This record gives sequence, C-alpha cells and structure tokens, in this order.
Amino acid sequence: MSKLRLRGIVSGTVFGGIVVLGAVAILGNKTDVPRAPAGVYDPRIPGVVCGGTPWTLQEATRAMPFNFLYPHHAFADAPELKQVWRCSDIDFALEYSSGVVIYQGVNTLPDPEAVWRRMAELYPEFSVGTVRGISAKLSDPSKAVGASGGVDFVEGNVRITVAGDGKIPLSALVEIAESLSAKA
Amino acid sequence: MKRAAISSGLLGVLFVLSLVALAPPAAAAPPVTCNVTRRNVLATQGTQSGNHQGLRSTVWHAGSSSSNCARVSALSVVNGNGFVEWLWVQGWIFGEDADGVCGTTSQYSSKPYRLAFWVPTTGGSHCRKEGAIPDSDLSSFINLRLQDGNQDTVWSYYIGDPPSVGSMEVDFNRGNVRTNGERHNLNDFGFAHFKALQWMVSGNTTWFDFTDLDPAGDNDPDWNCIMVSQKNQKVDNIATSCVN
Repeated sequence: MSKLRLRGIVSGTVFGGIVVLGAVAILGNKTDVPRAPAGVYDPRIPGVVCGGTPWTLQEATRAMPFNFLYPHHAFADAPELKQVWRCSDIDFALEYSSGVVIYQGVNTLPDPEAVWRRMAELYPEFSVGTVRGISAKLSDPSKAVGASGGVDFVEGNVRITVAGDGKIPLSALVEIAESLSAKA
Repeated sequence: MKRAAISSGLLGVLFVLSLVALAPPAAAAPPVTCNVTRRNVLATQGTQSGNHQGLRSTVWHAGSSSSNCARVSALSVVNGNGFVEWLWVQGWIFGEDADGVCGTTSQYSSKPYRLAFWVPTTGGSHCRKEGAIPDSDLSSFINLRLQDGNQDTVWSYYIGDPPSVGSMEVDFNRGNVRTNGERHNLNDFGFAHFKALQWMVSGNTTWFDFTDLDPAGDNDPDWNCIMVSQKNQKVDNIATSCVN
C-alpha cells in the first residue's frame, strides 16, 4: 500500500471517529440532569422548624424552665427574628431571616463532650472545638450533603445549637454563638 | 486518493459506532420529574414532650409497582435540627449520582425497599440500605420498631423482635415520634397504614399504646391523616379525621 493511500486511510478514520464522538457527546448531554429532591426521606414539613408549632417569645419565656440567651450578630439579632417555634415541652427555636436557627433546650446528655468526640470520629462534617470557653461540636456545612452546619454546646443545664442554612460558613456560626448573652 | 479517503472515513465512522454500541449502557437515573420537594402526612402521640425514645408499629408494606418516584412509609423520631428514620421506599433511592446519599448510584425498586436514614444535629444526611422486602412480604403488614432503649444516642431499628437489623448513631437520645407518609411526585400513590402504634418514654423501656393520635403536619394536597382509632392511623385520599 502506498504511503499516500495509508495517510488517506488514517486521516479518514480519525475524521470519521471525531464526527461520531462529537455527535455522541452532543446528544448525550441533551437529557436533563436529575437531582435528588430537596429534603428526601425527611419527617418534617418543609419550612417548619424542628417539626414544631409557631410560638411567641412571650409564650416561650413563660414556658421554658431556663433563662434564654440572645444573639447579637448581623446574621442573628432582634430585628431579624422571623419566628419562634415550640419544638417540645423542653426546647424551642428562634428562627432568623438570614436562615440561622438557634435551638435552646434542657440538656439530656449525661456527657456531652463524649458525644461530640464520638460524632467527630464518625462523620467528616464534625470536629470538636472550644466556644465560649466550653467544649463544642462544630459542623462544617461544606463537608456533608444536607448539613445545615452549626455549633452545639451545653452551658449550665441548657443545650444550645446555633444552626446555619447549609451555606453560612462555620466561622460565622461560631461568631453568633460567641455573641449570645442574656440581654435581649 | 479521494475515494480512498472517503471510504476510510466511513470505515472510521463504522469502527467508532461499533465501539459505542458495545460500551456498557449508562446507569439509569431518576427523571427530573422526581426532583420535587416532598409532601408529608405526619402524625404523633399527643403532647410533644420531647421525651419519646422509641416508636413501633405494624406497618403496611405495598405490593410491587413501577409507577412511583419515591413513595415512603416511615417511623421517625425528630429532635430539633436532627432526626432518625426507619422506612421503606418504593421507587427511586437517590445515590451520589443524583446528589443523594444512599450509595454511589441511584437505583429504582418496584418493591418496598428498607432504608435507615438519619441526620445528627447540624450534620449531614446519612443512609443505609437494608434491601428490598421478599416477595412473600409484599402487600402485607410487618412489625417495625425504632428505639434508643438505653438513651446512649444509638438508635436501633428492627423487623419484628430483637435482634436489631442495625443502628444509627446521632447526638440525641430522645425526641418526638412521627409516623410519616411521604411522596415526591403528585402522581405517586400516597397510601400508608400504621397499626398498633406504641411509643416508649425516656427512662422507661415499657411500650405504651398511643392514646392521643394527633396530626403533626400535612402539606399534601390529596392525601390526609385518617384516624381509624387512637393507635391505628392511615394516610388516604379522603377527608382527614385526625384532630388535635
């Protein structure tokens, strides 16, 4: 076979292959990309915090057997309070327009620090740090699908969780936790 | 020369086409019509004390069907930002290829398929697949149970009596129980049935019959909570009869 003929065969084959592969690539990308539904296999109504019921701050302060802490941060401050939620007889939540939710309730964990360490061993989104001088469980929302992110700690007999919306960085959630005080 | 180039080009096309044809087919994936926010019909036992540490029920498991996106019947315990759930799903089980967490690849199950699904407080979603139910259990009631009997934040799940099928480790040891009838497409069948509902209160390993079946949320336009008795609840497409 002459060199010319061989060159013709090779270039023809390559060209033909490029045409086919290009067609496959274009047609293959025409289908919609499927995604899991937002919040799948979740036993809570979307938008209803803690599966609870709407409450007022006055009702919450009357009912809960502990003193509240209030945040003072651009992402969570009094004017930004969107809704108070009654989660149960022993815990409630403050929902802010930014997407931050602060849960406060009677602590039921005999050894919170041991639980934080165990969570950090098991799941990549968790680590243990110190917030307000107390051992805290830290959750980085960028490290797990579906994670709200947040800071979880027990102060006195109250468990406090500062939860984000999955996009607010952990550093900001730590700042919010540090800003909590008894002053409304 | 020209003829040689054209015929060689055709040869090239045929060659590549045959490679494409012989390549393994891409895995099936959920259609975009299943990417819709969930509809839940939820019920609970009376006062939300936050001190529930177990839920068990005789739960209806459907027969085989290929017409659902994701239809769910579940026993759950919710605590603030987290929850644990022992459920069956009929339809799509969403894997990492569809931004889900139940395995690398999504799969479709026409038979009820059991999952354990959990979210620690502020944490990510976690899923463990426990397999499709055997044919002998299709269209029948089966006892399911979910509990943290010793309050160590490890929730065990069962089919019938011990031993447990598996467990979920989270950072709470009690919460509020929920039955959950859930679907992800308004064409999904939404029927659920939970009989012999019982709950366990924290600090006490005794099971108590539900005495005050209450609705706990419903955003489904067609399917509703039906109270057959205080400890027998359905999700059906008739007017609701669950009242606080």
